[in-house]
Amino acid sequence: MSDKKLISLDKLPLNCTGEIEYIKKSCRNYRRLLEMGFTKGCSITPLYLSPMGDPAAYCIRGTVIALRKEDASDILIVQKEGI
Amino acid sequence: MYDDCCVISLAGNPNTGKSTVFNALTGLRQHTGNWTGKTVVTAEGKFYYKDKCFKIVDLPGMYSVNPNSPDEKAAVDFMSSKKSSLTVAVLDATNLERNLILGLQIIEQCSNVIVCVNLIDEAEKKNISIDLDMLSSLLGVPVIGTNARNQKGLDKLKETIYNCAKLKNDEKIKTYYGNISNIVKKAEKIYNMSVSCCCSNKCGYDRKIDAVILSRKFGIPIMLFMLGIIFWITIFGANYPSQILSGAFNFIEEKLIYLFNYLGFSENIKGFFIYGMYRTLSWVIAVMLPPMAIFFPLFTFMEDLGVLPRIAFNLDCCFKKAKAHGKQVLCMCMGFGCNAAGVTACRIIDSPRERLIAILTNNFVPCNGRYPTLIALSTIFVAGITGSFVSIKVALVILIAIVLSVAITLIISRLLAETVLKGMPSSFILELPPYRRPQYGKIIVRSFLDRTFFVLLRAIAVAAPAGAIIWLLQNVTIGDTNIINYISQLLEPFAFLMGLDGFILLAFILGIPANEIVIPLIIMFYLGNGSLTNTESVTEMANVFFAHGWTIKTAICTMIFSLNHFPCATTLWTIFKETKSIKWTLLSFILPTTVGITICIAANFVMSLFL
Repeated sequence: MSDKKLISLDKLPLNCTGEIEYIKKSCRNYRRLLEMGFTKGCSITPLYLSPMGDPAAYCIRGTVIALRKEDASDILIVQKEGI
Repeated sequence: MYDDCCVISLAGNPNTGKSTVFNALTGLRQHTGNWTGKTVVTAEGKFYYKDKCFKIVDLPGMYSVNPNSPDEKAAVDFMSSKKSSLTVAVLDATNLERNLILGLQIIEQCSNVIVCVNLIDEAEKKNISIDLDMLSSLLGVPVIGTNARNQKGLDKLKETIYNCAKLKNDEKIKTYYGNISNIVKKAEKIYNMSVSCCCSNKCGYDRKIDAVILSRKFGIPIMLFMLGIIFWITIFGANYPSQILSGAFNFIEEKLIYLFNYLGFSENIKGFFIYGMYRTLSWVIAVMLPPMAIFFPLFTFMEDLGVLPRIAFNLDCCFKKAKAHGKQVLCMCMGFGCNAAGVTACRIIDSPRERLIAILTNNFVPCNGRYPTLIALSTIFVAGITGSFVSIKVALVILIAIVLSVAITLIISRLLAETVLKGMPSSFILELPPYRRPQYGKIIVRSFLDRTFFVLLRAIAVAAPAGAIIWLLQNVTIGDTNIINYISQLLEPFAFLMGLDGFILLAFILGIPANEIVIPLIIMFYLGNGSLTNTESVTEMANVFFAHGWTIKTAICTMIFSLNHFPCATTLWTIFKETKSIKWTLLSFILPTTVGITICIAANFVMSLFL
């Protein structure tokens, strides 16, 4: 618990897994993200960055979902240890 | 007759194989695509089981019962209305956790639900095992495992539908799960209790392919290469069937003339029906059908494979800068085939604002109907008919035209987003579905019937009357000259400013039914013979152009105007149907025309300085 540091999803390096802590309520797509399965405690892994750097594709609950940077920055996560 | 049928809605996330279940149940082979929002028009079909008739409605894919797009709204409205007496929720077995979120919402919203866990074979391959009985008891509704692709579990599904349809309204139980967070928690819990998965890496092969296709280095080149190949096959592959078709139509025309002569009709009747209506119609079909019959199956192939969302992913950044949606690129790709089809495809965009941008700018990408103009003119004036590397030079001109059209689309999108269509950029939450093996036989049949046939029918409906009008204009004379000459003289000063001449501008205006007839119309006006003429060779066409004072300047301005001018009648009609607004339809007419006129005048002015 001591080194539990919150970072936003877009800061998570590729192929590192994080756990969703919370989504900012101010996020325009708050509800839609929940419906797509972006909920607290869920593991999420950035897989690819598109050729121009944005959007990025994330593996969550077994599917690959692409998010733009603005949306990803509203999702706060805790990076998991190791791979 | 339908009243006797029990109406069943088929609902589920995109990419769960809903349409495959639909096809398997009804036998009506509705096309299944591998990208979000394929079912843009709800499909209906019937099947009989035992003594009962069932009408089944395939709803557009959705992620939630709180509609975010017109697609979803239609689906949810129908499903929860009294019209539908039973809902079959199709869930993807390979991704049950996410699918259950919608599944629970459907159970909450609709009173009579059957859950169909599809793609169960694919899940087995991925070592996912699902306890269907457990799932059924947790959800409180019947759960059937199916693999619709090979008919597995379908009899059981039919039997369950049959039994559930008998329930009366008061026997149905309403369930409430509370707000979305609770639903997600519930879905997670149900998933953990009923599914065991021994393999954590769920998307092995896909990742290897995606690592290349979505990579920084290869992503965009691969995409351009794929599009290039598709265009090349379409444009050059269409030549031969086109020739065969026009040969066949000529043969029929000869017979028709023979018949008309035999029946003793006057020259005018013969002219009106054969040289006017028949010839325009056959021209449009001969030029339009082959490229579409090639392009749409190729496009459908990419769609089935699951490549399209990845193209949107790779290019979203450009569209974000233009304040538009990444999915717009898919509508544009479709627009390269036919703008009317492209406009329809805009339904996949959720936000109404970004959807309108996509609709209004779709006409800026050249459709199949405009390639003949571009090819003919670049062959004659840029490559030189007898020069070397003609096809490479022509391909280069087409490539420049495409790049230009994409650039203009982005600029205009941005312009629209900052003026009439202001607003917050909406979400870009796009699922990249797993790659699926396309079903080849179906591709050919469905893409032909779905798109080619649809576009062709509409074109035919406008081409025949248009042919009649054109013939009248050309053959009715006031004083010594025909109406065509009067109008073209009227247009001459303005056309001159744009680097064209009156005949060319008039050809574009009369070419509103179909872009394909623009070049033939110009030639017809020049030659002054009262009907569309088959120019046997490019050389012959070139001679006509040169004889009427065409220079490279005229050719370039004509090509520019061909890229940027009002949409054809079919597209306008489609835009009206999609937006349900005369205002936007009018804007979609004015916008490209203004852009075209402006660029033509500017280009003409600049070229006058140098050439």
